[in-house]
Amino acid sequence: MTSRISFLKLMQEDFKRRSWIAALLAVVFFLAYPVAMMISLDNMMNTGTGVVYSVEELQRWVTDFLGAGSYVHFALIISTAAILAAGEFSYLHSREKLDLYHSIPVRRKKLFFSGYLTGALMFLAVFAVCQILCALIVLAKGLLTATVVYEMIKGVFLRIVDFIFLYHMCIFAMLFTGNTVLAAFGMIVLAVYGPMLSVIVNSYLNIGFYTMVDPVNLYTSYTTPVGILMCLENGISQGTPYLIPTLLTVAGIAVFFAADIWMCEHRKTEHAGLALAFPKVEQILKFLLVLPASLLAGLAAYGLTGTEKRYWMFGGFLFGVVVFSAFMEFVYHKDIKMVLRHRLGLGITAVTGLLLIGCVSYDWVGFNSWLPDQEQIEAMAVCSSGNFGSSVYQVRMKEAYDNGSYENEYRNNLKRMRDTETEDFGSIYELVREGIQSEDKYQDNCTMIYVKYVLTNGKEVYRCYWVTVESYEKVEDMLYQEDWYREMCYPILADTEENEAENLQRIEIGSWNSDTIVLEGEQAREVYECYRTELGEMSVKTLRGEENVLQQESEAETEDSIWNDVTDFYMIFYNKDGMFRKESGYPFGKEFVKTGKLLKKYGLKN
Amino acid sequence: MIEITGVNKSFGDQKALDHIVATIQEGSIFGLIGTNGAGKSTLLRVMSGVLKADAGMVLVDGEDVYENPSAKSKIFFLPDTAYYFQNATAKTMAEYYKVIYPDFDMARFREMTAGFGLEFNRKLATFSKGMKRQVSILLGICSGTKYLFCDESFDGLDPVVRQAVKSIFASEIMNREFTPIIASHNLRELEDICDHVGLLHKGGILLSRDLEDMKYHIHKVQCVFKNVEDEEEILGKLEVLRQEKRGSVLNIIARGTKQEIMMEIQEKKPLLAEILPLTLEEIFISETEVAGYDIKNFIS
Repeated sequence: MTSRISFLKLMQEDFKRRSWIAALLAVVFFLAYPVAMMISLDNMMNTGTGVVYSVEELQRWVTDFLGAGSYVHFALIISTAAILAAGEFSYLHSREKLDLYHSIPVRRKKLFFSGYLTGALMFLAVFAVCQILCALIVLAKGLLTATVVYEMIKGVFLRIVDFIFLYHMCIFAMLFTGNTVLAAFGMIVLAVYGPMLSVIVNSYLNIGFYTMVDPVNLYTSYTTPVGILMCLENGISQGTPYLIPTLLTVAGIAVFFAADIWMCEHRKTEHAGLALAFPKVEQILKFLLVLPASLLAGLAAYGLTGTEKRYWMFGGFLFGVVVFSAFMEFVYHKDIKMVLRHRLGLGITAVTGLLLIGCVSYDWVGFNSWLPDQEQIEAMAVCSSGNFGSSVYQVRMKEAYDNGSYENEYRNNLKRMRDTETEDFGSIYELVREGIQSEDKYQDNCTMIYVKYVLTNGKEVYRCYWVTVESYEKVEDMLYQEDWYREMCYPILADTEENEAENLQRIEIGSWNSDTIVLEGEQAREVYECYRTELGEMSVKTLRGEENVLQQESEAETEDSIWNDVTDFYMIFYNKDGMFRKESGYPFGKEFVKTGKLLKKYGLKN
Repeated sequence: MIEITGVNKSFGDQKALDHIVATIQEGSIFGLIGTNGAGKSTLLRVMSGVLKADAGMVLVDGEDVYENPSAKSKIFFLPDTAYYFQNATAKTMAEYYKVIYPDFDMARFREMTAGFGLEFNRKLATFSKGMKRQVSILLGICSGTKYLFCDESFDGLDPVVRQAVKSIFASEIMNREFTPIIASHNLRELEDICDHVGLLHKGGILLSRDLEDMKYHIHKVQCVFKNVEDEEEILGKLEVLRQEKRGSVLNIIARGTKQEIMMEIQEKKPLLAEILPLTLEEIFISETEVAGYDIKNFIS
């Protein structure tokens, strides 16, 4: 007599076999969520410590803890997905177990779904209970509001999506391989392959393409489920656009799920215990793993020797090809005598890598010598890594504070050139030509310059070159006469609404070796305008210290001088809406006579 | 009825099954005999749907068995190394099989395990190899399936238990539709239980025949002839599978009915001619020698 086997009973039996996983998850999640929350809130609400948190700050902490952007909980979800996938599908790696599971009158797809749903429900049940406990704790602490509930729900939804995506990825690894150890390795590879590839590629490019400024964006965050989910988390937590990560998450879940079902139906039982369940892809996989690993070995050899001799790179790479290929063959066949099989594949890998390294190391594509004709250039900009304004550092505090996270503006000379360029770029062009032709790099008399090309086709290209300090200073002396260049170096000189003194309500000023003073109202505006004026009128020679026009003044200022050892200071700006900007690295020395007197008058001490 | 139609199965470069064609009738005990590496286990796995044949198919009562729950519900497969869940007892395994095979007779299983002296609630990990085998056989019998595939299942059983199991098999065959298929290389244990045998060698079926019929058409004759010419003539006339001479006594294993063989021999008026009992083992050795598997090559 044949009758349909109850799916629920099958799941029940499956759960009986895996109840230890449910118990483990219950303990871990209980500690990671309600217990951790309780401990943290109790600590923060303990007024005996002297630190008092407002209700808003506590609520913000709760939403940070339970909502998007919690990487500790993200790591917990990854681990959970891996454990459940391994626990539910490890039977596929054992011939003895498959003799049982594939001989019973249950379709493989049904077995798959039984295991899949059992694992998913274990997570959901444990997770739901812990979230409810957390909500009760928040309620008991008097912190529950509609906003907090909304953020909590968002966080719950996001964690479930995280789990589903990662669960599918881990199941893929279990189905693709033939033993659980390799499956675990496969999960790691799936998680980090894209970003690792990006690091390796950019490392080689940095060595060979020395005029390259920006790392090549291979969008590797989007090549791995972990990367996609982290982009999604960041987008949701920081309010930045997250449409692409969302679409990729949905697509990724669907693709992995479809692949998992296909593999469960087409996976051969006799491949249990082998390295891969689909041996025909062994050599392709070997190529995809050995090539980047060997390139990494080449980098390591080049970096460790410190000699900057290219042959170490080649030698390290070839060594890596042989060793990693042999290792992969050993993993596949577990036979030392077979480690040098598939020499053709080994040869292809070696040749491919050598070509890549050669192309990058010796710049066969002419990246470093690229210089478009002047007719193809609409405008250019240049800045130096060591001259005027190179240490000015801007932070947009207001946006960072409102978003609930501290967001630093990218401290990079490229950002300085972003909105500035000149059509009168002849001197910059000649400087670049010198940089391309120069054999002297990294010498004491050289400085690195960053150049921006705005091409007539609308494209913007950035490069960096090494030129002599003398050459650059000659050009800079001319450029500093231009408003755009001065404003690029010192943003407070720009004639923008943000820089208008009348908007300024308060300013904090200090340096690394003096006290901070806070000036408000008229005093703040007075000091600010005075500094801006003095800075704007300063000549290049004075800024470089080649001219000491203030010697008589400095002689009058002796022991109580504020100038001793002060080289730069920082300012934090406040308007009527609060703190909105912080800048540091501005020049500040004896030459700022009037500003110094004002500051001394208002209390800045050494 | 189980029909095996042109089944091929390879593992990489290794051909495990080579165009197997066989029919297993219901109500018989089928013995699958084979040399080491002949493909017995592989064939049973293909028949139970664990492995997919590269070519051909296995039909169970007219249905292809692979990924077919309807066909597989008629089969219970006992592999040579049975898998038990961690910390499983006979009870928990029975409960699992009850879910999988709704006709599983829990009461009978409990009764039989008690009859064999096996503790129902004791962890199977603490059982000996033979005890585990007993549990797996009893699980198979109590599942109520029409076909029971046993892969070397009698190994590890003591003679008393073996006999008890054989009796149970016989009783099951009489009382319901039940067809056990037993794979083994132990011919002696199969001889007194199987009534149909299939002989596997190097992935191919050498013969598949009713055991009595096989014994009817192969005989062992011990004879003494007056002269060598008569011997040679007889050896030429009969379809000899194997011959052995010790002194003047010639032992011949030949195909043919008893009457046919004796008639030929008697024509030469031998000094001695008598039919000796032929064991399944001798039939097996003879047939495989003909196929090129000469056991004498492996012994010094």
